[in-house]
Amino acid sequence: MKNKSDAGQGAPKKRKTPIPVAVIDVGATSVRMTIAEIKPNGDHVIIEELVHPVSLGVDTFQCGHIRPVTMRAVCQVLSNFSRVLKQYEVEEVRAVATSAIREASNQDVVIDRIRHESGIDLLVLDAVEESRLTYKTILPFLKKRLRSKKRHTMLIDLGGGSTEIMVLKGHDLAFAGSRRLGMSRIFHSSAQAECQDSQAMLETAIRNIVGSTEDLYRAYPIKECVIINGLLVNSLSDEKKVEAFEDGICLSSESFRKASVESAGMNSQERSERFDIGPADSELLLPAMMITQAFLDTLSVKRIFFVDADMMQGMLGDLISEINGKDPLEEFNRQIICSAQGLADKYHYDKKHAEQVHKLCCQLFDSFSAFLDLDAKDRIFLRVAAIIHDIGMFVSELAHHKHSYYLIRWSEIVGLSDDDREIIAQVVRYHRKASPSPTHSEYMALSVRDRIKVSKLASILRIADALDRRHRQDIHSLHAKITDDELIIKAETTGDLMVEQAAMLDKGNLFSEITGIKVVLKKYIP
Amino acid sequence: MKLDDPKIFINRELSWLDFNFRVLAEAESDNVPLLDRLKFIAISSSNLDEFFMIRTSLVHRAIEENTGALGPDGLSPRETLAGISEKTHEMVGRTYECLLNKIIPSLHKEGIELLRISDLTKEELAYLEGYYRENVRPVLTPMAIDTSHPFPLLANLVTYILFKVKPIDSAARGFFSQTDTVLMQVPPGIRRFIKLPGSDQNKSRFAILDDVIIRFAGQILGGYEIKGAYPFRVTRDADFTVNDEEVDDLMQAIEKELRSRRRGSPVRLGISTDVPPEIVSYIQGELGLEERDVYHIPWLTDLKTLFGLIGLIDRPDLLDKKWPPHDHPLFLTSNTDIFDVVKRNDVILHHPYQKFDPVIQLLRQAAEDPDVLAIKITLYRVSGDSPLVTALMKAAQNGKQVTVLVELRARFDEEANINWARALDNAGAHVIYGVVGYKTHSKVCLVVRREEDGIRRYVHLGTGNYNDKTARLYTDIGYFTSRPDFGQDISSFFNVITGYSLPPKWNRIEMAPTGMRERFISMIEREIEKHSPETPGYIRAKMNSLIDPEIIKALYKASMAGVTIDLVVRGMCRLRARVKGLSENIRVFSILDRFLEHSRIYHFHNGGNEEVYCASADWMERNFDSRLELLFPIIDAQDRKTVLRPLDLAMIDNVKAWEMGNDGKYHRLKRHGGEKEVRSQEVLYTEASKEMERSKRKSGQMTFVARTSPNKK
Repeated sequence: MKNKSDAGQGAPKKRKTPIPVAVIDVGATSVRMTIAEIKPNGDHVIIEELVHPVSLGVDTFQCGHIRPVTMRAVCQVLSNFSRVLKQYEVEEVRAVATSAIREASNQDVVIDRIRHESGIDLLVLDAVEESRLTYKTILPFLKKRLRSKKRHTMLIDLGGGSTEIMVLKGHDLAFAGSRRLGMSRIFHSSAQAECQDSQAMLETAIRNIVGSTEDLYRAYPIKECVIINGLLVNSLSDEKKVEAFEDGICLSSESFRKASVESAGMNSQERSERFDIGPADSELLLPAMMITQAFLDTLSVKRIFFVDADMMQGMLGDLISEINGKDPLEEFNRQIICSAQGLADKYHYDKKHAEQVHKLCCQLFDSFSAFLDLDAKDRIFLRVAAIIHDIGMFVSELAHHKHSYYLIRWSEIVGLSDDDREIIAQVVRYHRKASPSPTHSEYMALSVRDRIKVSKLASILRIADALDRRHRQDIHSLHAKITDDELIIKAETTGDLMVEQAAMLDKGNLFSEITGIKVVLKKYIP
Repeated sequence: MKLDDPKIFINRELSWLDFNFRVLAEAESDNVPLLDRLKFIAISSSNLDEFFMIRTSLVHRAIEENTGALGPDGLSPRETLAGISEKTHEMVGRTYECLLNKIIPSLHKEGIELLRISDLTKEELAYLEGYYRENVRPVLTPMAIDTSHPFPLLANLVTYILFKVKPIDSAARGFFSQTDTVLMQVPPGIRRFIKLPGSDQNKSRFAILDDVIIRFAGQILGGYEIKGAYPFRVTRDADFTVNDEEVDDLMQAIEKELRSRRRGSPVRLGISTDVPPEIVSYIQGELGLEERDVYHIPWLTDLKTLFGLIGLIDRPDLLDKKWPPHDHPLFLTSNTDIFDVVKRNDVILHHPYQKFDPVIQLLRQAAEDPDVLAIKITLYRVSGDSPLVTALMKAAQNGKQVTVLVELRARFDEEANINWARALDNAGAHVIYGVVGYKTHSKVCLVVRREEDGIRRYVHLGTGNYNDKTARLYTDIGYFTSRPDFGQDISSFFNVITGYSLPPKWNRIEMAPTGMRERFISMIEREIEKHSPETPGYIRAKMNSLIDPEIIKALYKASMAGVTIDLVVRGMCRLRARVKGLSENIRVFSILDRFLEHSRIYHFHNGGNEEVYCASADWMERNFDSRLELLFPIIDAQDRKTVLRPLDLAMIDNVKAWEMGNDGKYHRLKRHGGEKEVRSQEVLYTEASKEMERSKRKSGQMTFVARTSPNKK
């Protein structure tokens, strides 16, 4: 079985027969698998959908790690799933895990156990990736139900362990963030406290987190709200005045509030009967409703949509794109770049220079990314860094790389996590002057892997920046080649390269430091 | 009547006995060929054995444990047992009356003579003595009962002969000397009926093993004078439940239980009529039975053995004409590509009017087909040397992913099941030994095949077990389809029953125990909602037994609301038909004929948008609550007609049909003057034949048989 985790960018495979694929999501309360078949024309049909409850969230959110008994359970479920995969001879499998495994202290052991017992390689998603997949999953719903291009919509993906919050303008992301707030997490951390009035404690915890989040989206004039949560859809679909669609339901804010108040006054048994759900679900319904109500109190929307969707469709969409030879991240990356441009614009950047550096970065990256062992996600980091590398000039030209650094750290870029932004900020920080050094505390705070990443990306950014030293966009295109001891860059330009070559002496040094290879700039002669 | 009145329900045990009376009525009917009548005697009597082992045992236990009423009819266990005893005494009386005064004399006239020892000739006695020495005596084990040898534990359903003896002074020796009572088992491994020499086509004479043992007992009980010999037979509680949530290895537990089945508490004593009262009360006392549990038997203690006798008689003229199953029009030849057919059509098979072969063919073809990836099947009761199991093994050996869900707890078949389950396991199949807490009763098979345009799933769903032998005797519906939504449902169903997944939202099917009762009730209620003078509500259903109180109440409500309900229930029925103010619009029919009515078919008018379903489940609590069952719709309009045909015919049958009156009693439906005779099974058989011929003609496969002799028909 082959697990693909990188975005494929190869040529479309020529094929006449359908390809069976599978996506697996190991969540906080259950493990799911969808097996589909991708037809040669790009359409897909669902073959099987499986879901098995496993309470990973209870373990992680209550005791910080996954207990042996739960580990055995999740291995068993995935071994069973693996058996089903064999029945269809599925080779393209994408298996991901979210917060319950992400935050477990014994994450590595669990993933290793699962690989050993089921042959399934789990990829632990970060919160942003989760948002992206959710966004991808929900997009068809939005296009169908909320067609306005201008209105702002708040998307809340209320999960077991985390809640992804997104603000959309039309169908484009304006803001995305993630909070450690989930039905299972909240329920089990409050159950552990054995507080006399656990409901009140729950409420306080939820309000605190939502309150701290509110600042981030307060600026947007939000008119619609979509909650992604299957349990709420199931529980509320028989409410009075509910508007039901094939892919979700819609309820007035007032009706929801009433149901929520009613639910809060009930015990688990009563709730189970009132909303026609199982006992386990009935326990989680209370936090689900409380979280929803807490968000609702910060918004002024008249109605709420509830949608039952998980990342599975988004993941499947990725696989389909890849198999059809498309970059599954294309749309999402476009949104990240837009957001970066918005940020740069705010600080009156030299747009033409930034775009030139961005273009050259891409050409350089694509020429020798394999040599530097960089992947698709690094590419987007580099692109963002290229666009915003000079924003510090807004503060002062002097040491502007340092100004850029903190401006980036404290800004929001849609689709990037705080950790992502830290890496990009440091890439920018090292686009000129001193190379990374053990005396730089921020640099040393990164993991070894990330430090190397920063150095590599910064070295490319420096070369690209040197190539537009004159801020005149003289170079139309370039050809880069790596030999045994040299990186030879041949630039297509009408003018001379004297300034650039001089700049390269200074700015190519980082690349030489990390690769042992000299950078040579020549004029391209066809 | 109010719906909370227990009187709205008929007691299920008594209802079962009524069913067995209907079976007996076939034996009593002069219109049934003689050997078939004998067969019905054997059937009703073997039914009764099973009923005592399972149901009556339950009542016995309820009395012992002093529990309340067993059913919603409110009858206490004591009252129930009294009712059972009364009806069974009547049944036993009628059985022997029919056998001894009608069937045996008629057989005699046909040259088939069942003889007592006193009727035999000298030569025949001499022959039997030789036979006894050679075959019987070596396996006889006399057991003396005396102060040091208490009354032994007697095997279930095995006939014993109690000899009253008196030692003859000089010859008596060994430990027998003290005793006046010796027990001897009639060895179950030896033929009960011994064909006597000189039998030919016109005349066959038979002696009975029991008589032979008694006649020559002196040889084994040398030194004793035999004062009397008294055959009797004990029935024991054989209803065991393996609490599989507590045992780790279900297979081991069942094997252990099987060994102990011989030792359940006694529930019934059948004993020769001529046994002196003091001996009856002695045995009865030893077994701890009461007067009501004792049945006096004028002749053979074990009528089930008549099956063996029928096998010895080669007289087709005394049997119903053979009805060999027909080919389905789409499977006229054995080399038909089953995938090719099912890819293009849904196919309904109606067994045993049509052959079971396509089902075997599906698995055989799947085992060899290189494009088949996986096969999954549930097996409940499989015949001993099942070609299905062979095909599955072959498939596993050929590298297919074979998943077999074996139900080890199919009553009385456990032993057979364990053996072939092990064999499958050894062949490399993934064998699942049942589902904790539930019996897997669904009959479903899934074949996953990789085809040019993608994965295609072939599904077979049935109302009867995957058993090629019973498929020749039981009426059942089989449904082949390759519809993707069915495929997805059935894949999910297997994922659910193997514990891989929670139940999804079904496209087409419904399963028990998660939602079948609710689904049926909502369909019954929908009939009430949609009932109007323009589109009157109408429900029809055919099943083995109608027991579930919730369904019955829903049906009563529908009847009160004006919905017409026609039920064809072969066996037990707790519902009362045609009762004013309760069930005026409900009719209950029962068909008893040569084939065992077994198909479960459900028809809802649904305001004109008709829905037809088949299921593995009856409307019984156990089906809804403690078994894994499947309900599936028949999609194609023509297929729906085919599936409903047995229902249409059952309601106009005037040869083999019974109807329940408002007093709960059944009466045979008689042909009124001028009415055409309708025997539903015969019509179905003829129609299947015509359908096959028609399509043979169309496809040019008509074969002509040349007459080789002028006399041959």
